[in-house]
Amino acid sequence: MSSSLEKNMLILRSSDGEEFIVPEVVAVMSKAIKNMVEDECASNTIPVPNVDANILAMVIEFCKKHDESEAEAASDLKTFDSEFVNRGQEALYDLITAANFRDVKELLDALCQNVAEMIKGKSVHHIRIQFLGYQLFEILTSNFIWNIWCDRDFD
Amino acid sequence: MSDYIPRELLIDILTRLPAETLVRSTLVSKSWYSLITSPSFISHHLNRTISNPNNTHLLLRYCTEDPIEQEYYSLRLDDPITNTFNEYAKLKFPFTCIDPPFGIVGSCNGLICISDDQACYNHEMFLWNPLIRISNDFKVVRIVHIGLDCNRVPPEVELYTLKTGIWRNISDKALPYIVVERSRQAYINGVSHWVAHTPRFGHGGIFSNLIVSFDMNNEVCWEISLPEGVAGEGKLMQKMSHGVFGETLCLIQHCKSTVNPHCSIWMMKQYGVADSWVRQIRIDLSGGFLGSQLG
Repeated sequence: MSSSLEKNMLILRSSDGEEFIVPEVVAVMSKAIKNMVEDECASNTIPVPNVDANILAMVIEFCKKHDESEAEAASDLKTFDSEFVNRGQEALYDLITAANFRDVKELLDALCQNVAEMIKGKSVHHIRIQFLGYQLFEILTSNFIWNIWCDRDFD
Repeated sequence: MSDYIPRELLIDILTRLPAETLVRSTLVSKSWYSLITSPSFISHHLNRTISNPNNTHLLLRYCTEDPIEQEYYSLRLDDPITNTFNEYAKLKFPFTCIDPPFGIVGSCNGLICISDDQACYNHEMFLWNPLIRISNDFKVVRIVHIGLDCNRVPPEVELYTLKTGIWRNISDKALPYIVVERSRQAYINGVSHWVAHTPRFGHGGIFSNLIVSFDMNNEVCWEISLPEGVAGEGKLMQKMSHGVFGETLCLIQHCKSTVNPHCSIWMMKQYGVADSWVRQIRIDLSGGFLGSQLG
């Protein structure tokens, strides 16, 4: 496969073994991959551990869009970003982890902004359920006094 | 989820939130509380807020006299695109003073210093954080010329720090100049500035206007010269005020003389370099009258 690979293309291999052929300009939007390419320690196939095919496909979709849309209006890209990051909590977490480990700045920025929007204007109770999930029980039981303080009216 | 998100990412996310949400978020858990109230987080959040070009909140004060003297504060959004100035939030004003309204001493990082000093001196001074009740350490400088002979220099200088809660006399660091009464202070990069002048009968009899500045971090005073021709004698009819534009020190020179009254605005292009004062605009006031400059 590598022999037939066009110039300036790279193969990314997800943690579950699926391979994606991606233009180099798109792949190097990940700073981690960029460093590997610049240090010439990357062969044609670059393994992307900890990121499965599903998530890797999403990350590539995001990077491609950002690479193509340089000429597009900034507002269009913004709309794309906000729609892109509007996902379920699990996918969001996986994307954040991937973007953080692979150091994809623009994606990480859009994701962090999305999470911030999720917190904005929410009640403490809501934020706890959303962000601490299973920990809620622990917090409520082990931290009795703290919770009395927290349950005060706060406006 | 926050348990999975690395700390640096959580900081990134939380610094994007408005102050009101952050205050509420301190109640989410102990780790969020200690993170959000840490001085480094507060500075981080502040820098992000300041560098956001969409952040155009202005604080508006509106005073009534009838039926009661009352002051109202609100946050407004200055939107240059739609040319609107809509109300964003009403603020509760928790203080009362003997002779309303309060004098506004200055503001820094969302914290406002107000003083009950309109009619006479002394009384009380408040540090008010209109949105939240969390802040890093802040300092207030008080410069007092004691006695009827205001030309007595150097003045008494006291420094208050929020952390210690006490006033400390630092008069030994004061410069031998007279700080103009209720001079508006301009705050840039941790340094406060006031318009001042030399004592009328001291200093070899040479009268000169200048700016006295005080470095809040290192607690030292120094002087900044004014543009040539502005500083000198024979300009007693002029009123000086100054302000900040971006990170630049500005000077408003208001010349009230009957012949040729005018108002000029100067900018100090390079901070601390007297030669870098440049006159930006000169407004002819022969047809009208200018009350006070707001800055």
